[in-house]
Amino acid sequence: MELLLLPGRQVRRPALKLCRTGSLRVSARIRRAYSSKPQPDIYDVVCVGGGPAGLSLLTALRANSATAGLRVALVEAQDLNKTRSWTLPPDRFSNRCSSLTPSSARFLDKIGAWSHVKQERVQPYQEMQVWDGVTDARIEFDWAQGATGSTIAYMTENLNLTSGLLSRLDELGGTTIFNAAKVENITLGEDTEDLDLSQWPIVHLSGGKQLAARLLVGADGANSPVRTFAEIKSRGWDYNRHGVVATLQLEDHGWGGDAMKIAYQRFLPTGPIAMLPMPGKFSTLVWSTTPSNAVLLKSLPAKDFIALVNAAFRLRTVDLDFMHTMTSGQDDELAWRLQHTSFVAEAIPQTVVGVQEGTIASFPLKMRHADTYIGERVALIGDAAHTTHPLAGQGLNLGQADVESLAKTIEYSVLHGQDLGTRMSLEGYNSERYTKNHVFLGVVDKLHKLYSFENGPLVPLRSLGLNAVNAMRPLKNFLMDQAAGKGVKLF
Amino acid sequence: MAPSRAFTRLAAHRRVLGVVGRQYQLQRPYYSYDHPPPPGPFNQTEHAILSAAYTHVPEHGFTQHALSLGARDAGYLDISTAVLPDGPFSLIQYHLITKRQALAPKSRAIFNALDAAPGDGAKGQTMKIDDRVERLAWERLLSNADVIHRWQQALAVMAQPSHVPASLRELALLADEIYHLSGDGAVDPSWYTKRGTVSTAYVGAELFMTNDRSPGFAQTREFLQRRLEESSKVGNALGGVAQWMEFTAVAGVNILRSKGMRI
Amino acid sequence: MRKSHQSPLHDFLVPALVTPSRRFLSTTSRNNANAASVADASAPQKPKRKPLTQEQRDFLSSALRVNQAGELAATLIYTAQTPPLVNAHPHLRPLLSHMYDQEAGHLRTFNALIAKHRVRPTALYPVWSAAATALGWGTAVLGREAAMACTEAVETEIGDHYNEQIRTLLEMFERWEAEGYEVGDDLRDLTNTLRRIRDEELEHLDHAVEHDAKQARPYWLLTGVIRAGCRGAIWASERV
Repeated sequence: MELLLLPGRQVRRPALKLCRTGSLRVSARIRRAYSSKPQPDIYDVVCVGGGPAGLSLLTALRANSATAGLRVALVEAQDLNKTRSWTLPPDRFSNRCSSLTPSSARFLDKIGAWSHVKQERVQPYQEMQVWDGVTDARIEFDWAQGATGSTIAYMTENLNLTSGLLSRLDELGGTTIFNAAKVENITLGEDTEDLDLSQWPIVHLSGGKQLAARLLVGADGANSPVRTFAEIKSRGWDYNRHGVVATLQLEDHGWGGDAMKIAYQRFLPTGPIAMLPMPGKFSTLVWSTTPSNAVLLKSLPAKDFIALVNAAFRLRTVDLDFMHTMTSGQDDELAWRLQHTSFVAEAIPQTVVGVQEGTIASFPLKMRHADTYIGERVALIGDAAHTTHPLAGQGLNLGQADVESLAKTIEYSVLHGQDLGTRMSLEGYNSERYTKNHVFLGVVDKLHKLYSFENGPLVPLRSLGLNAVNAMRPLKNFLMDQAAGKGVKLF
Repeated sequence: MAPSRAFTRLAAHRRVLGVVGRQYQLQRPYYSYDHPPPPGPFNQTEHAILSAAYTHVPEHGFTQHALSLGARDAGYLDISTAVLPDGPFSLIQYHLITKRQALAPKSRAIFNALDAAPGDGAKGQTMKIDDRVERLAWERLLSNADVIHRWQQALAVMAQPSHVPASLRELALLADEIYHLSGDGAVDPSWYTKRGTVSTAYVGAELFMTNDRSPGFAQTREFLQRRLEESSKVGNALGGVAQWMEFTAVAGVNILRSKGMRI
Repeated sequence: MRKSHQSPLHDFLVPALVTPSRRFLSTTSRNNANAASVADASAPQKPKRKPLTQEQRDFLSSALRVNQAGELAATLIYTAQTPPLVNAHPHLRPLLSHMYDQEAGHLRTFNALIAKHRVRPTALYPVWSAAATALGWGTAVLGREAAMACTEAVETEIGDHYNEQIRTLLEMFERWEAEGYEVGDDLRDLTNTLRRIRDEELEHLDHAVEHDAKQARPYWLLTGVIRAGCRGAIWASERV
């Protein structure tokens, strides 16, 4: 008992010994309790959700010698065996991709997962071109002449990342995985003669299995059941926009060839459209647009869909709006309109020539932020804690930063003999991440608002700002370092 | 029935109504479904005179003359119009009240017809509240059609200081009726803004309609739709600002809490 | 001190405490007398139910309005109290969540009744929201005892208030029945709803006392101020 509910602060013992004894006591107790009445299995950390955030957290805990002694469990509703055996031919790419910053990649490398990610399917890019669809004001995030092209981010398929993480987690072993297991309910435990679990979350799985968690981690997405159990409110709003994704094939390998890949983003009044490089001639599309446009895009035949994507990077916004009112024939319309539109070919992505079958999909965009990331014996990470607009491509990186911080906080508790589940032990995590994420969510939200105006006083102002930043090399380098997660820490 | 006896009884009744009418200004009293409703605003004689007089309005306007003709039609002496101390304004009120009360059965007919209409499912039920409100306000405007050429004169009477409170009250009742029939159950502060919005849009459209010569008052309907849309845009923008302010205030507290402050 | 109020005897025990504000509603009124006499003259058969008098309708609408305002305030008090209180005392989370859920249920009940009976909601809605949030948050920051003293004070006032409404309704029913009329189902349901909600509110009061509400210092000042505030709010909500 005393070991299960450590009084905390005062206890100073070598961490490993503490955890080993803890586990032994736990298993002894389970054996004893088993005969009487169904008792929950007791774990130090139960993570609900086997997405990038959840898998990274468990990998980080298992990979660190200080926390490797913890009893950890993963609960995932989907079948992870599909993720394990995930494979695609080299010329096919999944439509759900993320841009991993160098600092996320460094963290993944530190926990030994980066080498398990199929590197031939990962595409680093070195340059970004961002411009205003209304005024054409532009900012080029390129490195100064002569400077070695340094990577801004790595484009990675989400499935490549999760299957790599899972492979690393399997290699490390020691994690109890409840695969394809549905969480029926989460409750507080009971106070029995043996054991006072009245402050412990108990995860009830379908089939009657019960897991008691010293720390329950919610990595279970935007509609997090763990967050609901902890009665933590999540606030924000819907953007009334959908993100349309697709895997595209371009006419060539990009203007910079394979050595210098470029990401493009054009801010249209309906929302930004981004084309991000994948290996070879491939690119991934993230187009945030109105729900009705998204429906249209998904219903169009391939050639008209391609025409609209090409138009969205080239035509004036009024012409583009008109093409959205057509139910067919966008292909011919674009051919005609391009003769009357002038643009610099090298400043925009190469022409799209194909879209991979079955990759056009869309999802609603929203902004949400939980009131706090921690509760008594509860921590939230990733989308369970915050959801953001994809215009900065940072959703997954925020989650990775959460994981790094939470893993560090847990390590500290273990090393200092604290009970890792108490609110007090978790406070370091909340205090390190909350403000940073809030500022980030706010900036992205304002950018979305700022570029949704088609006319009015803000339009010339935002162009002026963009051009000014573009002209100032030191400021630009600073921003690029920030985007890449290097240099001075702002928050 | 002897006119003199009717006169005294009606006059007494009228005084009582006057008192109740003043109490009504602020209160929107409990609406009971299983107890019989309280007596209506007009008693039998008043109703007889007013309904007869109302048929003369298109020709003679909301005037004392129309009232006298109505009294004669209903078999009373001209003098008996004295039971209606507000004179022509009573006739206007009769119009306002009966048209408002007629809205409920009309609303049922409209939305049932939409439900029954071929196409995708129950359109009347799935119609958005805003659209229902617009439809009902339009229906009420249409019921002015027969007297619209007399309506400017009526508006002038309603704008007399002594009649303004009763006119505004009737407008408030109409806005409440429209929102009630639209099925809106919100009882937060939007209760007030919604009713205010539809009132102003309705009054504007009514005024517009008095000069509208387009077939079927099509321009009036456009005007009404434009006004309602404008106010809903303003409402959305204000709502967005309020939502953002609340989010930011809560986030401020959350940040301080995340930094370990015990608040 | 109020634990004894859990029994159904409430309705009859409490009047003694609140006599100064007793309110009698006559079942006849001037305009109604007129209608009744017409009915007597024309139809020999007596109608089964009486129309509500203006006074009765005013009472019902102001009762529903003030109850809505009160439950709104209660939900907001618990909402504001929960984060600081649960951070300091995690074991209170189930209790606070249980009380909040009940209050939220009460608020839904009165919102539905207000919409159904076409009563105007209180115009001071934003004022009550701000005041209740400030009260809940302020007492929670002062500590567990102060927060519980706040609950105790508020629930005492609300309990008294519901009792007064229930008694007025029962008097109304008695008079109707004495005259041979029957009472509509809506009003019977309303009375039962009020009774149920009153009992739940008094249960919250007991929880507060169990959790050391009386240990708050200075208890008399805190509860005195809050109770006076509640009475002021009820007075205003009945009118505006």
